[in-house]
Amino acid sequence: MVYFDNAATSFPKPKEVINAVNTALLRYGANPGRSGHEMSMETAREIFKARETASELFNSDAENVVFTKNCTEALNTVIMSTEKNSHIIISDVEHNSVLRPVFELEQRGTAEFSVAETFESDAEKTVKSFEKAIRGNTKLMVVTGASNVFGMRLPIKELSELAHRNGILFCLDAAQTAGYVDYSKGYDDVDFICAPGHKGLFGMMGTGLLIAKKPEDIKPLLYGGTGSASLEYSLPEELPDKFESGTLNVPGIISLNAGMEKVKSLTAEKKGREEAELSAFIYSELGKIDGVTLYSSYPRYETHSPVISFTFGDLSGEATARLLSEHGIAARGGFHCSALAHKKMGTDTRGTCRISVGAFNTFEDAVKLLGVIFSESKKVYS
Amino acid sequence: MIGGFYMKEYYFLSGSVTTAMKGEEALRRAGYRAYVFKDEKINPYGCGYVIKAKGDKDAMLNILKNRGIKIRGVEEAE
Repeated sequence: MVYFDNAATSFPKPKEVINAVNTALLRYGANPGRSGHEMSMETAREIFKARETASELFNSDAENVVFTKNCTEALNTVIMSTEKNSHIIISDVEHNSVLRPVFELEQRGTAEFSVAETFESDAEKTVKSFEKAIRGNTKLMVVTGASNVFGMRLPIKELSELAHRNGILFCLDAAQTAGYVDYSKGYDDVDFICAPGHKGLFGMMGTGLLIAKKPEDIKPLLYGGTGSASLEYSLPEELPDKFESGTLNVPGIISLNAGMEKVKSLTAEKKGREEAELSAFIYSELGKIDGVTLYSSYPRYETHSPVISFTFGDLSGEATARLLSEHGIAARGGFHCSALAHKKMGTDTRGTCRISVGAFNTFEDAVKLLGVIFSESKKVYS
Repeated sequence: MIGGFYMKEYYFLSGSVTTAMKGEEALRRAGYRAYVFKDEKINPYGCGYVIKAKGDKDAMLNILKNRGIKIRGVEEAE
């Protein structure tokens, strides 16, 4: 099987990650932050190492690194903290993990939201569009690093600066860009970074991160045992405990640490540029094949994540992905949990098939993918 | 390594295992002998995690403060 579904979760995982999970299950089987015996302390130390690695990658402090079960949980923690009578701005390419929580808040009468139009590769116009959407009660902007369907990157530095100039909190959905973009410097105006552990950071599924640089402005999503302040009825104020009720996913977090170390050694930008290069090659060649309709733009690193959206012939996105699957190629068809992005691009009736390149895809994988589509094209069009 | 046999040992009381480990690491990097253990009797603030370290109390507190590590209390070790 050739795997081109890395925007959903990365596969395969680096051998360091697989080894880390094995070690976690064999050696770090006690509950961290609960007990004082040796294995609990050693496990807590491994979790702490993971916090430190994440804090380096995202320019934070170890205690501001909150482990979640996925990016959605991290985003929900930030969004559901919004005060009553507030206004939230999101972009027109946000994933449902942003759209649905803000919609829910609106349904409850807690907050209203606006969808700001974005302009591909035009930071100035996009910033102006967000600026126009600001109201007196705007408290939060939530913006994706890149569309999970069409790959266009949004001007996060400029938008977060705009937010801060207007006293608005800024939350980055780094679902598609953590491990692809270097967030270790230059993103000082981003207050919250939400990231999956299992995509570009190579960890196991069931892992996620909330980098909470303004923890005082958000509330926990879960309440329960933290191993601290045990005699108190309320959650401790201490970080990260306040946001981590319940037992942590220890094997997952240890796998994530190994994955993040791998990203550090490759460097996010170098890894990202290589993925973008392969993606650009596939894009260029796909465009030459009769019957292929491309919906995304040429994936340059600076402006795009390594995803390509297309369909073949009169097939829907789902049917195109099914055709590839019959030939041993894994890609995702349909609507990609992204109602807004598909509406924006006019693909909300047929959907698209998404090819998403990962760090371990090779030129040979690309040739196989192109070969399958080319031979299907010849059957129909020659 | 700072902290000869004539130096006093202290318990730095933390509010979470993460804070305790961050403090332990900060002190070790500065050359102090430090380690974390759990004792809810010594640290009644909840989590029970304590950093035990040998050396000048004020100097160690300064290191912790400079790293932004919140300490709930300091006691001389028994």
